[in-house]
Parts: sequence; structure tokens; C-alpha cells
Amino acid sequence: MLSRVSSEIYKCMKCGWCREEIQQICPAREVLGFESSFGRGRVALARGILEGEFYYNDKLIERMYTCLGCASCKVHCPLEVDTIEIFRAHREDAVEKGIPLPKSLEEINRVIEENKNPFGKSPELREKLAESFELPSQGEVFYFGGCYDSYRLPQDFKNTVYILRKIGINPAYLAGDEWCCGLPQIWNGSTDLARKLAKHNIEALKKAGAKQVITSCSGCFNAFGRFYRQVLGEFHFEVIHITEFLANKLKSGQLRLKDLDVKYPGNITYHDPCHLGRHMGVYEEPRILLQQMFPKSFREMSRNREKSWCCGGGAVVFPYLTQYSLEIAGRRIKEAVDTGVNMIITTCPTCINVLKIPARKHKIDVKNLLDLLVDAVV
Amino acid sequence: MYNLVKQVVGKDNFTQDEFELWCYGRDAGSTFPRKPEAVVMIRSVEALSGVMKIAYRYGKPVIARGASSSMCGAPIPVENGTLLLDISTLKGIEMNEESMVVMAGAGMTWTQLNRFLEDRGWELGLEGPWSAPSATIGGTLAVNAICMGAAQYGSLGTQVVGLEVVLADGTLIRTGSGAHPANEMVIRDCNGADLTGLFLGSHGTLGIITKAAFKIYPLTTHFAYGSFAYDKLSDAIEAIYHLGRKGILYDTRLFTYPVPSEIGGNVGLVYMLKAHNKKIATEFSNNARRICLDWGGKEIDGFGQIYYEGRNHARVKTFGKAGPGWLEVAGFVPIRKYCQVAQPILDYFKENQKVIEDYNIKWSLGGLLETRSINIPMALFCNEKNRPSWDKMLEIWLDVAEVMFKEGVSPYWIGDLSKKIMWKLGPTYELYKNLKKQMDPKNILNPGML
Repeated sequence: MLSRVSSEIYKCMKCGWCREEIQQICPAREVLGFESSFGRGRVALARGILEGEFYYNDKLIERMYTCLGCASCKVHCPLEVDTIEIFRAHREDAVEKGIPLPKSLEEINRVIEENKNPFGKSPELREKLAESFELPSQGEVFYFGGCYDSYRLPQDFKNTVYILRKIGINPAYLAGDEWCCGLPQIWNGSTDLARKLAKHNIEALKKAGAKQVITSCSGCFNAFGRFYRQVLGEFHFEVIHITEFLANKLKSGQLRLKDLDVKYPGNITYHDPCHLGRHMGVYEEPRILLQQMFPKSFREMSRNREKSWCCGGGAVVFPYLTQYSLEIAGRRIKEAVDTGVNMIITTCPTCINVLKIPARKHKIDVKNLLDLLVDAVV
Repeated sequence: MYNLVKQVVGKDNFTQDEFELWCYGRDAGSTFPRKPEAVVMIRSVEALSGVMKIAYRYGKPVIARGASSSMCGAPIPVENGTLLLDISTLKGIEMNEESMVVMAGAGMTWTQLNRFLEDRGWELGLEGPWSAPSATIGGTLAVNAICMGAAQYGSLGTQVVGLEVVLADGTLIRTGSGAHPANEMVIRDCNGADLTGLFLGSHGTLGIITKAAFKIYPLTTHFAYGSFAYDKLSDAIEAIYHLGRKGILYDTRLFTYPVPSEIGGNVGLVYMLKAHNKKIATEFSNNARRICLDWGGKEIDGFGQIYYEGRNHARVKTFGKAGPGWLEVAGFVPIRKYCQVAQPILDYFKENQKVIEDYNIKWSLGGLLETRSINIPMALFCNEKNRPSWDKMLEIWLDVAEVMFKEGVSPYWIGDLSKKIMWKLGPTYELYKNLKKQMDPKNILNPGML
């Protein structure tokens, strides 16, 4: 509902600082150009609907869904307007008014309702994962695997468990009781479904005795860290991203990492996932780990940390507007090429999924930080 | 006609979507939104020229727009059925170090240009308006906005050595020495009449600026700042007058109302100076300080530096918190005439204090030294969500503009105030209208604006 963010909408002074700075600020604007494609214009769209100036139609819905939710406009706003909440509320408003979702997004909702994951896989597969890794279903330290690592990227799942065990932690896992974190619904406006998923996960973790929940997916981390708290209030366990967890262990000496400069020749860089960086403020921990592993070959892309460029896959844009998504991803890859690296490391399965497509053409590897940590952990 | 336009720019760069038109119907100010009929993203000067040829053939009103960060309605179409040309994508920088000139595309922001020069050991005289992070070169020139550094370098036009402009019929021209195909953009004052000046501040009514060439200077490395509180406005004005005569300051600002709490007193003054070495910076700083103290100023340690170092954020944040809806009117008078103009404005706000409070409107009055004159900006703020406040704010804006004009202020940043002001200039306005008729016989360039 848009009225819930009306004070944020009217806080926007239309100064246009979210348009461009030294470089472009909004990936959507760089591709689409028009005013409605970036922060100020998108806030104006919400205001137009709120004031009854126009109503939803297919083109407006498409334009609304070109926002990647990267929060670059938000961090550049001198008045700290919560643009992200405005854009989410705008999508939510359309759904509440009965405007049909784009088909691909409607389908994701259906699949998640049915299977509790967006890939249409059987929830039993999570049970099998738990069995094969002999993960307990109760405990104080939990690993929230997320749908990507549980179904699509089992190697990342395996890596996380391996690294945690290497430092003496045998995490518990919800298995079939772990549902999708709801991030696709948080972003496609289906807030009721997102809330249902959130409530289930929180209750399941609480019931299983969780005191600390580690996520390896930046998206899940963002869902827990912001949305869950926003709609369900505080919960009684800590949620931490694997990079934060491991960086702390490195600092305390419980984790030791080998130098991988020789094993992986060439230069590497780090891509800040929006969900981990701008949304959750985690910038340094992945770098602490990387600098330990690649003391000589680590390079920063010109846009990094708060100014990082989105991979193009955020806010359910990739399944809906794939080509548009890939165009933005291509620009990020070009930046990596210009930085002179042959490997991009990140901590978000969506970023990896999207970036690796244009990266192939440039013979750049896109890897999860976990892949390298497995090699480096002593 | 629009089919022809689409052929030139590509259909993806053309829109008539209602929601898009709404987004283009406003600027950073709070004037009433006025939607264009269609919007075109201009991706090249050639495309702009092509679109203008079509518009000219069909007599279609057009308005060009940059970042739309103005606060006076300048980039909002006046006439119904206007085609809006978004030229914020016209980028590009050509550096001519030998001649100490840089040429920038109209869509470049000031911050982008400043950073480019800084990285190469150069700087502009004027670093752009206080909306520099978002304001474009083309838009700023079209409204002749006052810029940071005006105390030293004067108004924006003093720094321009030539322009590239697309005329009403789509013809591309260059002014200054760049008009000669075999010459470079190095000097404005040649080829007879100063055609560059015609386009500066013309709000796009005589042509659309696509590139501008500016003087550049070796990067300064030493800075000094000052801040002073005064009991009497007249004393602060005398200090500014004498500071102006010394010509040692880069930028000087006056706070008539409200005075920042960090300064206190009845009137506040801040300044910044730039120099190439510490010795000169110290010498100039001592001179400026002495003048301010001689005129009864109470020195406030540190605030000048805080204010100027945060200049790109300070104004936006302050104005945003006061509003965030805002409107501004500003113009120039001789420095010593400031009090004569300020008094009736202060009286107006005193008389209307209850109304202003009832409508929850805030206001400010200030001053900016421009070498030989002073700029008087008056800004109003309200929450746009409150429609009655917004309506009342528009009313006050027009009233104060009248008061200022009556006292002899020459506005430079006119926008929506033009209907109230321009005709009062008599024969000068007639000349402008005649020039407009000659240059734009079908009256398609931002008609009704001036």
C-alpha cells in the first residue's frame, strides 16, 4: 500500500542526486534513459499513483519492474529517502489492487507456494541433503542454506558445511522445514506470501533452538535482516552472513587461510552484491578474507562498496526481463575487464548466475567466495 | 510528425506514456506540474538537429531539459502540446590544455567536469551551481545560474568562450572563435556581435546549447575560510562591499534570514578564498578577516570551513529538511543597494507572519557577492503534500518577485516568473521579442517561457 510510504514519497525534493554522479548511479537509467527509470522518477511514479494522476497499465508495470532494487539511489540521496521501501510498496500496491503480476513472476509465486522453493524441486531434496551431510535438525548454530545452495548450487552448500566443520562447527539445518526466504515475493509485491514464508522460517528456527543463523546467500541474509524484522519484529536469534562469521573467526585466529595467489594466476576482484553491501552494509568482511587469500592479485573495480554496480539480476528482474538484466551484467563484466582481472568473486548466487553469462565471452571466471575458501582453509 | 521523429531517434527513445509525461512535468521546485505531449531521449547532437528540423517543419513547440534541478520551473513546458527533448545524455569532454579551454557536452554534470579537470591538474573558474552534483552544463547556462566562485570570477557568462547550439530549424552553429571552421574555441569576443551572450540565460528560447567551452585555470591548492556574525545588516553589507573591492575572495555568502545557529547574531557572513601558495592564502585571509572585523563582525571559528567543505550537501540538506518543496527567486543589484531591497522583503514577511506560520511555510533570504554586484536569493519551503501550503507558497513567491523587481532587482533565473517580469523591461523586451521572431519565426523554442 502506497500510503504507508507517503511521508517518504513527499520527502523527495527532486534534486536529482540519484541520477548520476561522477559515474552513472542507476543501472536502469543507464540502459533505459528516461526519467521514470531512476530513483527520482520512480518516486514520482509512486506519487502519481498516490495522487490519482494515472493508473497502472502494462507499460507502467513493466517500468516498475525494471528497478533492480540495488539501493544505489538510496545511498546517494542527501535526504536519505527510503527509495527501496517506496519501490517495494509500489509493487505491493499494484498487487493489492488486483493488477496481474507479469506471468513469469506469477509462476514463481505458484511454484513457491507449491514447493517452498522457486525451482519447483521437491522439498524432500533438502531432507536428502541433511541426510547426506549428516546435519542435525536441532542446535544453536544453524545454516540457512537458501534455495540456490540447496538445489541449484549444492557445491556451495557442501563448501559451507565443510568450512564450518573445519573450524569446529557442525551446523544444524532445517532440511524440509527450510522454506524459501521469500525474497522474490518481497520484491514482486506479493507481501502476504512473503510474510507467510518469513513467519514459517522464523518459527521453525525458533522451535529448533537456533541462537545463531548463518546464511551463505546474500539475498536470504537481506530477507532475514530487513524484511523479517520489518514485518515480524525482532526475533530471538542472530542472523549472520558467512563472510562476517568467517572474518570474525579469522580475526580471532580460529580460521587460518592459505595464500592462493600462486594457485590462481592472474588478478581477481570482488563484486559487492547489493543485498549484502548497500542493503546490509557488509563491505569489508569479504575483502578481509580475500586479501588474506590473494594478497598480491586482489584489485578493486572502480565502482566498489557503496558505489558498486548491480549485477543486473536483483528484485526479480532476471526471470522477467532477462535480456535487460544481461545488458546490465555485461556492463559490470566490462568493468572487470577494464580492471585487468580474470576472476570475479562474489557472495551471492543470483550475482553469479547472471554475471557468468556475459563473463564467458571475456573468459572471466565468476566464482563464489566459498569455492576459494575451501581451497584456502588450513 | 512523431513517426518521423521516431525514425530519427529510434522508437525506444520516444514516449508518450502518461506516467512518463508526469515524471517530466516537474523540476526540483514546487511550481505546478505541466506535462509535455511527448518526450524524446536525445542520444546525439545529430539526432537533436534532426528532431528540430522536423519540429520546425511542423511548427511543434519544443523544450530541452537537462537534470531538471532548477527551482523556478525553467525546464517545465509552458505551452500545451510541447515536445520535451531530454538532452542529459549529451556527454563528452574535449580538453585543450594548450589554450587552457575545456569543451563539455550539455549533459555533463558540473561534478563530472570538475573531477575530470581536477584529475589533470586544472579547474574551472566557477565550479557550478550548488546543485553541481546533479545540474548539467547546458541547463545551468540556459538559466545563467549563479555559481560557486562568483565573488572572484563573476557570473557564469564570464567563463564561457564559445557555445555549440542547435537553432530552431535544426542548424548547428558555433559561437566565438569556434565559428571559424579552421579555428578552435579559444575566445568569445570575435566575429562581430557577441552571439554567445544571446543564448546564455535565454531558457532555450533562442537555441538549444549542446556544448560549451570554458576557460580553465591551474588547480589551486590552498584555501582559507571565514565566518562572522553581525548585529546590523548594513554593517555586514559594508564588509561585503569592501571585500568585493579587494577582489581577494573566491566566494562570499550572506545570511540575512535565518542565520545558521553556528554563527548566531542577527546577520551571518561566510567566505572562502583560494590561492596557489600558503603565503598568499594567509595574506588574503588576514586582509579579509581585518575588513570583516573593522565592520563590527564577530569572528566565529571554524564554521566557514565546515560550510564550504560541505557545500555540495549543506544546501540540499537544509532546504530538503525545511521543505522539501521549495521555490526560489533571485536577482542582482549593486552591493550597497542590498539593504534597500532586503527591507521591503523583510517587511513583507513580517506583515504576513501569521499567514506564513498558519500555512507552515518557511523562508530564507541571503546574498552572494558577484564581483561588482550582489545576488539576492529568496527561497520558500513547504511540504508539497499540503496543497493549501503549496498554493500559498506560490502566491508568496510571486509577491516577493514583484517586491524585488519594484526595488530594481534584475532577475537572472526567471522561469515561471517571466510573465510577471519580462514585459516590464519595455524596449529591451521588445528587442528580445524581435530577435526571437527572427531566430525562431515559428516560435517553437520553449514558447511562452520568456
